[in-house]
Amino acid sequence: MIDPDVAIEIPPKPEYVALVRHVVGAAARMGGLSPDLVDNVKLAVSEAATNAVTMTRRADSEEKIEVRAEIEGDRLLVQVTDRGSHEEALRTLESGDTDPSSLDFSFERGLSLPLIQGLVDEFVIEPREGGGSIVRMTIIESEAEATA
Amino acid sequence: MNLDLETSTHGTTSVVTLRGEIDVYTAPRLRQALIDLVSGGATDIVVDMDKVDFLDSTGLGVLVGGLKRVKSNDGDLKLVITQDRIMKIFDITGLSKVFPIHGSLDEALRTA
Repeated sequence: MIDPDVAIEIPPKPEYVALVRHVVGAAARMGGLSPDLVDNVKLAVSEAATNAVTMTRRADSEEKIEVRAEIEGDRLLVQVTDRGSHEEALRTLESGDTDPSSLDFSFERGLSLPLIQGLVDEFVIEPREGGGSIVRMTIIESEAEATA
Repeated sequence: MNLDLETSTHGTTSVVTLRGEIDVYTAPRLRQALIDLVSGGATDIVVDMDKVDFLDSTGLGVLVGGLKRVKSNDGDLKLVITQDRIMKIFDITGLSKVFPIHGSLDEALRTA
């Protein structure tokens, strides 16, 4: 078993999100996470990378997005850094208005945040010094999942 | 990374069969296929996700958009979901209560 520590940078383009998903998913697998959690990691990082691509393009920026994934004991830490704006994402989180059953999405990425929150153990969006934001997610392998 | 998309007709129902990954890059093709079906007069649509390896919120948003379009024509959009990892995504987002979901294409067509 190795403890992967990977970092990749992608241009803010939709076609690169799959690359992030597959690299971070492979790191999670190599780090010993269970198949169910590897699926959760791939989806959560895909959502975060998609949000970063969307927000960076909305900010008319070509700045690359950096994704880091690191295994620390029983947990995977993922960090997505961009030069976009997550103010909309933060507003949605704070308003709590993410009920999908209304079929009325005022925010086009409105399903993404409740999905991430349902997949990871910890999820934080922080502003980045100089503009943009840093998304941190932690996925913890519990003993029950490891032996399942 | 790709998405294969086939459409076929079973009686009065249009079936969209998906194979591969649905994300921010590939979802626009699904959106266009659903728009084309509805503008071609389709009211009852089944999206078969038996062979879908990955689905994200962009794909969910496209399916919700398709559902809204067919509902406005008194139609319905049903899903075939056979994998736990895909079903989990609908459960987390609450969308399992919004879409009619079936365990096989035959079942989805029988209840048309």
